Amino acid sequence: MFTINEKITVEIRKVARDLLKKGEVSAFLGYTKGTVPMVMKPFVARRQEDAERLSWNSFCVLNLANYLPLVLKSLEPPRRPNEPPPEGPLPKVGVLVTGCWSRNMVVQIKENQIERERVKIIGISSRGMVDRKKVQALVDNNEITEVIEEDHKLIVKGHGFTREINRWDVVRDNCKSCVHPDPVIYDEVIGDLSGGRQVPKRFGDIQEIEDMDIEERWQWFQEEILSCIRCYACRNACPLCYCPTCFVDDSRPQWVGKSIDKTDTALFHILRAFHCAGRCTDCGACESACPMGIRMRLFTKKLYKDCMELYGFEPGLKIDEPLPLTTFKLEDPQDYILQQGQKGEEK
Amino acid sequence: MSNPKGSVLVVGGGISGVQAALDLADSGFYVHLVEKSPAIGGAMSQLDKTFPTNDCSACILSPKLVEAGRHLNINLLTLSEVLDLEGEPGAFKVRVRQNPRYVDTEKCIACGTCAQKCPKKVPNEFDLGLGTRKAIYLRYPQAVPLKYSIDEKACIYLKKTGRCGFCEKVCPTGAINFDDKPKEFTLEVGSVILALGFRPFDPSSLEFTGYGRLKNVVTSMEFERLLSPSGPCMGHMERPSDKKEPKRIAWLQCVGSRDINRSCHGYCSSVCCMYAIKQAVIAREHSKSGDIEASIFFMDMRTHGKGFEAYYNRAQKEGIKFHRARVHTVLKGKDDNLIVRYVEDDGIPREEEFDLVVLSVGLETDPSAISLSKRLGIELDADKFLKTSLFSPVSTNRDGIFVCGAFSEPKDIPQSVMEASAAASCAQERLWPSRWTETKKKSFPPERNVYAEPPRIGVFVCSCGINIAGVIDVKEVTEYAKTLPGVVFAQNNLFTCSQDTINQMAQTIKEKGLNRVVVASCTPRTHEPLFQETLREAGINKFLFEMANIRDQDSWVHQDDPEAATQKAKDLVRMAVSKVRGDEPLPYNFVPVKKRALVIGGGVAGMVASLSLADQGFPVTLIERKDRLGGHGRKFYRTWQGNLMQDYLKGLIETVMSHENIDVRLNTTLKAVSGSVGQFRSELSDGSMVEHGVAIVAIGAESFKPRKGKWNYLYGKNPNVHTLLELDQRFIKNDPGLLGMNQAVFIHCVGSRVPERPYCSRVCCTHAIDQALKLKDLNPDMDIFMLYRDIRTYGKREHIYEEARAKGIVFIRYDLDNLPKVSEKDERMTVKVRDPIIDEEVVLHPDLLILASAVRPRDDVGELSKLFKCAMTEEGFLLEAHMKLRPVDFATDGVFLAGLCHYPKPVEETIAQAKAAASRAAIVLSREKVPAESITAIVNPMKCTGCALCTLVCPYHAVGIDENTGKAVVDTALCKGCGACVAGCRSDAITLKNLGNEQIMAAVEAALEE
Amino acid sequence: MFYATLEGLRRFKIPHNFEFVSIISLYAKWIREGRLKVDPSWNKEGLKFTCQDPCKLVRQGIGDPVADDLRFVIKRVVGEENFIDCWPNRSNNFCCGGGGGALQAGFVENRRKYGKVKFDQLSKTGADVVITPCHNCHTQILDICDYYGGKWKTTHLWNWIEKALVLEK
Repeated sequence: MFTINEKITVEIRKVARDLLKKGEVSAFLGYTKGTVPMVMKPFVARRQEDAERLSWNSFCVLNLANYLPLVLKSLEPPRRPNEPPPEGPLPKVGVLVTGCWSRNMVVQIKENQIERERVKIIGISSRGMVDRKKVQALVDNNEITEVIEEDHKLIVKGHGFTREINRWDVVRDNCKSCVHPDPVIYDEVIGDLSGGRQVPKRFGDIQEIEDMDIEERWQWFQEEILSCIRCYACRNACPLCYCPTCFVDDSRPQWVGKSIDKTDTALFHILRAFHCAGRCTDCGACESACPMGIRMRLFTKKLYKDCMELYGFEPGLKIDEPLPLTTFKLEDPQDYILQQGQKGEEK
Repeated sequence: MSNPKGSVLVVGGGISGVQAALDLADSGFYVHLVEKSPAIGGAMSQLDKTFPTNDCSACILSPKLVEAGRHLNINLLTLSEVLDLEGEPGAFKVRVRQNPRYVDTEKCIACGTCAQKCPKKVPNEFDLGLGTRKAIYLRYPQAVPLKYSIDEKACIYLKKTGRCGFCEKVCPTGAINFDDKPKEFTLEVGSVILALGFRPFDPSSLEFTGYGRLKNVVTSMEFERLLSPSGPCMGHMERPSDKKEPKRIAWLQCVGSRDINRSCHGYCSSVCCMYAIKQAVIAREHSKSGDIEASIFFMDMRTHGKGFEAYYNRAQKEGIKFHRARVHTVLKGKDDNLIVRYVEDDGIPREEEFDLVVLSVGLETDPSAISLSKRLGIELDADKFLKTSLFSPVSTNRDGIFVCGAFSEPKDIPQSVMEASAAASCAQERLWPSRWTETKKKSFPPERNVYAEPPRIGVFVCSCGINIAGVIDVKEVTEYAKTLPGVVFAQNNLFTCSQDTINQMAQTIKEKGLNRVVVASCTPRTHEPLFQETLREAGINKFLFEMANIRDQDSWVHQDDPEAATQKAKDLVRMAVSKVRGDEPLPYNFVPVKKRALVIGGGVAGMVASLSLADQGFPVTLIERKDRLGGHGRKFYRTWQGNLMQDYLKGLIETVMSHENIDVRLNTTLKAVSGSVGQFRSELSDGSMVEHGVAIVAIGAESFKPRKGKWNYLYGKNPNVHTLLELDQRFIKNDPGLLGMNQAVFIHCVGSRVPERPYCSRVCCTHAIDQALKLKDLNPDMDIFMLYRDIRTYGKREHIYEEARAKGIVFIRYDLDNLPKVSEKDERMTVKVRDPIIDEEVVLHPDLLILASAVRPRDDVGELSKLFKCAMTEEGFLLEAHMKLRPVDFATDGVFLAGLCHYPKPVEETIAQAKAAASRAAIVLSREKVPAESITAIVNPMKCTGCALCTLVCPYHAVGIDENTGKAVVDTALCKGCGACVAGCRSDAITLKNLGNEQIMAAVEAALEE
Repeated sequence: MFYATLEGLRRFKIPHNFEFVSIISLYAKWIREGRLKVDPSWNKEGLKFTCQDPCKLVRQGIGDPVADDLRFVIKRVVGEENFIDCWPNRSNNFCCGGGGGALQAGFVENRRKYGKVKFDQLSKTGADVVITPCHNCHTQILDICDYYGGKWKTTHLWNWIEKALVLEK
């Protein structure tokens, strides 16, 4: 009896093998098992045989869109800065996507980081990925030696214990509140599409923080980032963060200090969240990558909510919709300038 | 035939004269600007604020005056008068007398010591006698030229030698010259432009106003001086009797205008309604407590210009009271207050007490203008204004002599500026073969390469007379500047912008080897170009320069704390010094000019503009979306003076179609535009591309046809209900069906001045009344009723209103709460309207019902405006760069507008505006290249990710993505240095030259230093 | 009659070859020429006089010249020091409120209300006699004097000319 994920894995291997065999793609971006339980590594299959190593389960938490531009670039012949691109079509890359990653790809297309024609997108509807820190917590942080995944439960084995956990209980927060599990852009689909999800109180966690008064909120924020070690794993895992010189690495002028000083750390998180405003799809890769368990998604999700409320915009859903920070509409709210909230009416 | 002279004489240094002079001087002609008073500026320099933008008059005027004062191609002749003129167009000989100033302008530094010491005080005519000045004086603080002069009628020494003479003794530069004599000389010019302006009506003969009889009755011009910060009470509104701030002010409209019974004028002075509302609005702003009660007593409220109706509506909302009543007599109240008794529609007499009464006096021609006209053989009309023909609004009866501004008809500033440019255009149409023959050219020494030099900064701290030095200790600031790192020279000047200081600055830069300059003085908006030019004259790049604004942002706003102000001045200087260190020399970018104009729209505006440019030798492509030229002009019957439109139009179309310089493309529209001034590339709907240097938008407007809704009034349902244009068609065709009619009713303001279209369509009152008169000509016994809200026959058009009333046409006023009710039964129309005077409903049965419907903007204006990145007003008309002083320019360089697309206007104003647009366009086309912005954006390709956000936010499409590199790249010809891209870039990849991160951080850190 | 003819000529631009002049101007002219001899010495008690400027004669009619002539005649007839001008005066004087048919229109209350302003104005002069060179003004001013309790007598002009006439023996 195959589980859903096992069936998907078989399909993935078949598709990847075919694409690589026919030469339709020169590389296929997916996941392979990591060296420790509950960890899946992003993996580039370049030969037919590599396709066998591809795998799919509920621990595929990193965002494949993050690696896509690099993989594409790696397939281009080297050339000097001002040289025109070579004639003829460039090699293509196949990639697996779920809802949020596909939306990131739409944003990447709009931001000229990838070309649609060079990507073969294989879509899978996500059932939610598991947060391994939650599993860890349920076994009191005892070392886990094996995890067997069934459709709706996880069998967690360690030294001297075996526990059955309900899968949904340990699914990531962002997956729980996701309303776009289906890929929005794809060339082929593996498995069934869900048709979307309804989530009452999608932004409940943000609302809770908004309801705090300013002192409380500042207190909460400072505590949240207290353990940040400035490793930049979050930034490195994020598909939006592709600037050659990130603002934290600039030295002339040095916008933000590089130590774990409280102010500098706060500034880093706030500025990064704003750079992601209107572009972040809440894929959760940042939180999954963070070694310290900081919930920085709460910052980016707040801006996601603001974009939705102010401009009616969710990133990556429509390929021809302009990004909110590059354009304006006459109906945009102006109550930060005008005194009476109504648009166009002055005091 | 020898070439005409390449120079022009402009008589009159008000805003019209200055504008005409600047247009001509910028297009290759040498201009002699003659002004009879000691300084240019005219009436506009006496105003406090201007409507409808509420801009400070001096602030928007002085940059133009300064430019005229230092323009190489303008010869400013103040204290001068024209004696006589002979010759013919192209070769006039004008005799001019320059009256003695008694002060050597080369030596005078306007320090003011002479005036301080002068013992003789006389009433100040600039303040209309409300304040005093000395016998040696500056006409006003921002006067151009900023040089003193002696009033020979007041000067003690000049009246009897040997007495006084204090000024000569104390003048630090020895500039006083009591032996100055009048000089007469002859100028040879090709054309003459008369911009003689007006004088305000003197109400002394009108006893009922109380002027002269009662202390607290002032004219509107006197009130402007009371409000003005340069006036006798320094901007604190004080009433004459007790200097207290008046809390209740009344304005009486139509004093000296629209008055045929007293010794006044019958015409309407056009501007008084607006200026009274403006004064009421500004008076409230001036008052510290904000509780001023303002009441305006009027007959018709004439807010017929762009933005005026909205201004009026806002004023009403703000609580300014409007009473439709003429006041019989201003009576004396207690404590020098004034009693005004008035009756409105309800018939109840009311009495109100006011602290101050302002008389909205009209405009009339100054006697000196009348005598000059006689000397020059220029014809004036019965109202003593210059006589013009409506199809040649800026021409006089003498060929080669043109007119602009209030001298031909009372008008507001935007109209005057338009006419000034139009007159310049007319001059250019004659004199264009001699362009650049009499002009002077500026040459600069080669620029030193400062790249390897350590910064050697020079700081010039300006006292600006007492403007800065009166509050800030400029000596302290100068000493402090010397201590700043990199500063090798610091100096304090009295007026840094004066010619001698400028010369000395250039000298100092050369001698001391300065390679950066900081001037701590006023705002860059006044003199930055002047100082930058000084750097070039001294041999260094003009961008190695910074200004610290220690006047507008320091001494003017911190008058009550001189110590803190001085400290702030030091901070500002320190910031400027730290920023200027990082300034690099920047290239002077130029764009070559393609000598062709693209005119969009083949109506009267488009054709007149095309013709003007074509007559100057410039090739024009004229595109028209329909299959024939003429636009709405085809629908008009005649002007209000009776000139037949179709005859004029026929001649105009023939001339345009057969002109060798005009390429007419019918059935053609504009698809896409790229490029910018000098280098536009436009794609037309027939697939062809046009390369042109400038564009003129003259797309016209539409007529509102009230097919349904509130303003329908049976339009479309009854064959005898027409709009004004439809009635004109019947006139043009000589429709015999119009004969034998018994009754006609006109309804004004159909669809105008209503919530969905809150503006006045300007043309309809005049048009409707002229049509009514035409109907009366056809049927003398016909009854005609005009149902109106306000009659807006402004300027000389008031005469046809008089004529209409005299012919027995009945005017019934209605308002938005009591709309006329139109119905029909068995093909008989009934119009019911409530007459407020008899307070009864009047029932009419017209054979003809004419709706004066609105002029509305075209529905597709938005499309076209996007092509040229032009702005639109709320109502949908195109928005010019500045509503007062740049009425035909768009904010986008090289694109101009004319005609109905700007705002509804009659044909004579359209012609003037079209010519004005041509004149402004000629400034670009007359050159081989135009300067482009030097402070442009620059991309660091190492940091650029190619995300293209900068290309999306750039309003000028100046940033693009390079095909090869995938990185952003800036087209410096298009970039205007706005910085939107810099603000948008997440990767810090794009910056502005001389405004990089390091420089800004240096300035910020300097600001925060202890 | 006066105004109707005058205005008719003016408004409809009817060509005419006669001069249109008020009798008051003729009085003034004759007094100046010495043809009409008047002497104010009859006014031994120093009766104070003021006058009305009828709308149809002055403001809408001929204008200030005839008002000036009126005052000239009155001063010559009653003595210069005995004439008190009301204010406002001449073309700017208030209407009495009785002309134009108001006397006959029947709205007596309204007419008297309109006349209150004239009453106050005339009372302020303190004059004993008000000279009204118009029969409508005469009736109105007479009525309001009575209605509001004024203390002056309302007369025409000719009565006083008669009083001051110097007859040649």
